[in-house]
Amino acid sequence: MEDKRRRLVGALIRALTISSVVVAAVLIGLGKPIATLAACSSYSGHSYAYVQSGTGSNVIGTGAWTTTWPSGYSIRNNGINFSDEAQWVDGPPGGIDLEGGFFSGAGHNVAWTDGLMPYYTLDTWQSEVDDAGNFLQYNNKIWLNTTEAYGANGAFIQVGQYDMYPGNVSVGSPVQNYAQGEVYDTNDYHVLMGGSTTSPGESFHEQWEDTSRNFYDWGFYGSCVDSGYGLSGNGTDTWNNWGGQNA
Amino acid sequence: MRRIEPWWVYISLSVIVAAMTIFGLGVIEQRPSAVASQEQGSCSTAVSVFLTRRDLGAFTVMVNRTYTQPPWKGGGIGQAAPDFVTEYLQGRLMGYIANIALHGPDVPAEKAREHRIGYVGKWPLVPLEGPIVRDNRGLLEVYETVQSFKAWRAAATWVSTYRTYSGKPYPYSHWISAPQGARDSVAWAGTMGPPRPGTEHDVYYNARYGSTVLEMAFQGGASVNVQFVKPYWLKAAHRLVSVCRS
Repeated sequence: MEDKRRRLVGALIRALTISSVVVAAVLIGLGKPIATLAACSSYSGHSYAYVQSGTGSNVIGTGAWTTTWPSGYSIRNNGINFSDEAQWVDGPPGGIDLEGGFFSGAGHNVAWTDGLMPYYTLDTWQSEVDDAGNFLQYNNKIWLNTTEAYGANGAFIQVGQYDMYPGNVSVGSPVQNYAQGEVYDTNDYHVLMGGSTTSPGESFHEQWEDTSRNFYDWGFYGSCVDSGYGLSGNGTDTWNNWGGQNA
Repeated sequence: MRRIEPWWVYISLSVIVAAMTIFGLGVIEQRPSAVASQEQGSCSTAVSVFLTRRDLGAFTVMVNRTYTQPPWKGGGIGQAAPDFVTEYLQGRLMGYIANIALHGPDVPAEKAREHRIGYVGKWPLVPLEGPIVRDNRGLLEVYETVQSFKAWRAAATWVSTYRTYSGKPYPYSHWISAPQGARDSVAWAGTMGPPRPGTEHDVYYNARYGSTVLEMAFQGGASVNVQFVKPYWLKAAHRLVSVCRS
């Protein structure tokens, strides 16, 4: 009898608790999408796989060895989609970040490109500058370097054989290092991130840069990947990304 | 495995149903302003709004695509979506390429350049570069995009995102004055790379008319400048305003 009453009280408490949670959820978050903790991006059609390392007060840049996409890789020309591989340095929340890499598809000062074009951005998605007039060779090993302004030197972006100079851009301290593969595909979900089905994904060997412009291998990284894409690596300085469907 | 106890599931479901009833979940009332916005969206993306081959001459449509989401990245990681994302209605982009870039005498040079970097595709590698640009002074690529938003403020934010920190848009471009009749605008002109023969010249307009934004990129040879593209721009803007007003 005592055992039955205890079970009944327990059941009532559970029911009340769940009901309260449901009502609170309805009141607070009516209509809002449920966040998926593992996803990097909640914005439809926009997907990442990225790695992050740092921070340190003597860090001013990120460097990586990687390869460009296979020969013939291009996004179906629809004026919207893009895919890129890039790295960036970021400081404390609220500041700007500095991102440099290469992309194919929809640009900013270039309406559309079928080629692999270097670019940089300030503040994540604003102030993108596409390096119009310069294309990277496909299937080619390249060095990426994104360095904030330090001392008398302005910020510096190197993408393969091309250099860009964003000016006196400092992201603040401490600096964190990031690298990513990214796609934006509003309708088709056919954009491949960093490769093809026959040669899936790219490998990045990540380094960080100190104030004397020396580079060192990352000692560790955290990662994030959106559904449909993949990421693997050794957990310290080398990682691979892949994914998407064949267009 | 934990056993489900149906009776308190039923209680929870009852509470959810009651809450949905109280707060009106699932019943979206379409207010007059929302209806007006949708009409604005459909008129601004109608094909009749856009330039045609009659306007441009010997061009081929290489892009004709509607947008269901704004064609930009939205917020960064962990950032809230800006209003031009949440207030977005729809859009369309039309892209045109000059026939001479598809069938003209400089096609072998275009193919050689594509082969050199490893590009393979149905359309020429754009932005065009080299002899095709050097030998043709007029327009070679035109991109026309119309975006509609629920509110003019979102459209204004969209336009403002095209400004950069530095006050100078891109390494080889300069700001130009606002297009006629536009409420907010960003416009630049210059070359699409180091200014040398074979680099495309470009004029870019991004301008708001009400809650609609007209964006045009004109790219081509050495004659492409503000005066050169003005008739095309005025025609596109006039058509957008008149179609949406009728």
